[in-house]
Amino acid sequence: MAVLKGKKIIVVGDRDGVHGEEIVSALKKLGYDVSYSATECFVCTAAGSMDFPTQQRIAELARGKDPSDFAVILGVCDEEGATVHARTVTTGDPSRTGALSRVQLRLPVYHIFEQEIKGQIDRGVYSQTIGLVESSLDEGEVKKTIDVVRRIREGRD
Amino acid sequence: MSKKRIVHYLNQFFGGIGAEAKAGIPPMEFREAKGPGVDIQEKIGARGEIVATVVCGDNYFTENMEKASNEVLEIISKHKPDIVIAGPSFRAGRYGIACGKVAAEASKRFGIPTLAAMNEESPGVDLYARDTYIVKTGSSVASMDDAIEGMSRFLLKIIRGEEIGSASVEGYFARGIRKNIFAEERGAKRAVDMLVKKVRGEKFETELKMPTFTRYNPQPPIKDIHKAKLGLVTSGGIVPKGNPDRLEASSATKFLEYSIKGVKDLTPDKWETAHGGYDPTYANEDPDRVLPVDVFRDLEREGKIGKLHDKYYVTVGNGTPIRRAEGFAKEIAKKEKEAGVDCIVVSSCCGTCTRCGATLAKEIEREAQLPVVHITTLVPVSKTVGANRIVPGVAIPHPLGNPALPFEDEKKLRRKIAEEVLIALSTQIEQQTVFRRVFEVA
Repeated sequence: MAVLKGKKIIVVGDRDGVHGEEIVSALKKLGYDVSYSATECFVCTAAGSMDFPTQQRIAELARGKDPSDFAVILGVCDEEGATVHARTVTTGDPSRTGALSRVQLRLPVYHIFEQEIKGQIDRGVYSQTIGLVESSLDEGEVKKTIDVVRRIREGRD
Repeated sequence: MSKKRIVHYLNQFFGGIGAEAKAGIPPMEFREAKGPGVDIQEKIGARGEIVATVVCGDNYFTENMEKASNEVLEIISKHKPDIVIAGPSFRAGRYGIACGKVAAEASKRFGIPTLAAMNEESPGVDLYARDTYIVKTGSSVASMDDAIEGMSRFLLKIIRGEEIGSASVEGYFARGIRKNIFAEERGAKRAVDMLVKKVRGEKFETELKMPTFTRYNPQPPIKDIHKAKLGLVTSGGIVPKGNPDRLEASSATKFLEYSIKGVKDLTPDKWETAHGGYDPTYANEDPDRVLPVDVFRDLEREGKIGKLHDKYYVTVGNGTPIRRAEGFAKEIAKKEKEAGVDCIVVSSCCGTCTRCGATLAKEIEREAQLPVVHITTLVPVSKTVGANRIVPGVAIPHPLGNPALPFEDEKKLRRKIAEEVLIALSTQIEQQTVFRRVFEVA
């Protein structure tokens, strides 16, 4: 339970993947408190960057704090999007433009489909919402998405 | 060697102003490197200096390209650049078009080297690869590091005055410029070698690249539009409220069919857009601004068309690859044909959305052998891709409306565009034609 217990949880969902609210409701059911939640949408004009207000809020919450007090959960369901979101909260905004550009928060970042997270969420709630999304996706893409988040979390990217 | 003066073009997002909501801002200048420009400056060191960054909103630029590019070029010229760079814009449609246009125009007007950077799926490549160097990039900011590296390396070559090699060697999009070189083998042998490889199914590199977009002859017009059954298609993402089938906001994997039986007007309590490529505010206020059900129902009631087909087809064109759009078109054409539809209207919004919509328009036209009209604000993109009958839209987030007008006037404007569509469908054409009457009169 160490991954989420006692942590300040930040949820970054995605319109084309698992929505922020879906993750939040699954967490709340088990009594977790979520510090901040957003649902990102791939914005063409920004070439997939994390939105400015989301970056701003995460910067306010986590800048200068101990990263191990936090856990970030992502809901984006493609490898490219997961790369951008995970990098933004670890090594900084790849667009070089938002509040987190050139800021290395190094927050522990997880994907909602990772066993560490899935295993801590009520199965019933999971299968009603998040599981439906997961089962509609290509298995290979899901694996690639999880892998890239793990690599970035472990600093192997 | 004196320090080269560089001016950098960025859109409103990469210039740090804001995302979709700020896409309408006019050009502004900053006397420093910004966003990815800061990294490019670090990489090129003292050999060059980004003396200014010009930032412009993507909608402002692409909705009125000549005016906007003149304004941008005027700012750029003040800084007496030796080189102009733009982007990287990745797969972004409007941003790619703007970067390509700025780089191409700067090269033409000032006679200086220019450089943009984008992904092969950006319509900016189709429009401007011949007029400027465009370095190849990945599709999103996930590949920003490589894009910065590629642009900086190319920029250094330009600064040092080094010879630029062929497109495949240097990693830019072929410009269609033929250069005489001494080849090791003679032409006949190279041709036979290629042929043998082709026959064996092996990889080979052609020496004469053909343009990728195919063109088809326009279908004959509708003889009697008053009796015709008209079908609506959109790449602008209009779906029932709540997006029940989870149509993706970008890179859609599907198109969907919805019934508009008995629907006279798309109201915001029942319909919305799922599209992630444009500011959804206006389409969500009145979805008829993207999928004009209300005016076509009126035309049906007044007998100006025979019937509006009770089903419409929708996808999100944002970032949709051409091949996938072609696949959608085949299936949509079959369904329209089976339903006895006589003519079709496709509406589109942003850059890659227009590319998708134009592909739908031309492929449905060929497949179903029916006349198709494409409504879009980005007419140059539609022409490049190959739609045959094109009617210009009002603006990217509301091609069939203008939220600045009172509702009645706005509906009149939408009606005018719909009437122009009917003229387009009834007119014999021999080649691609843009039906501009609405905006010439307005």
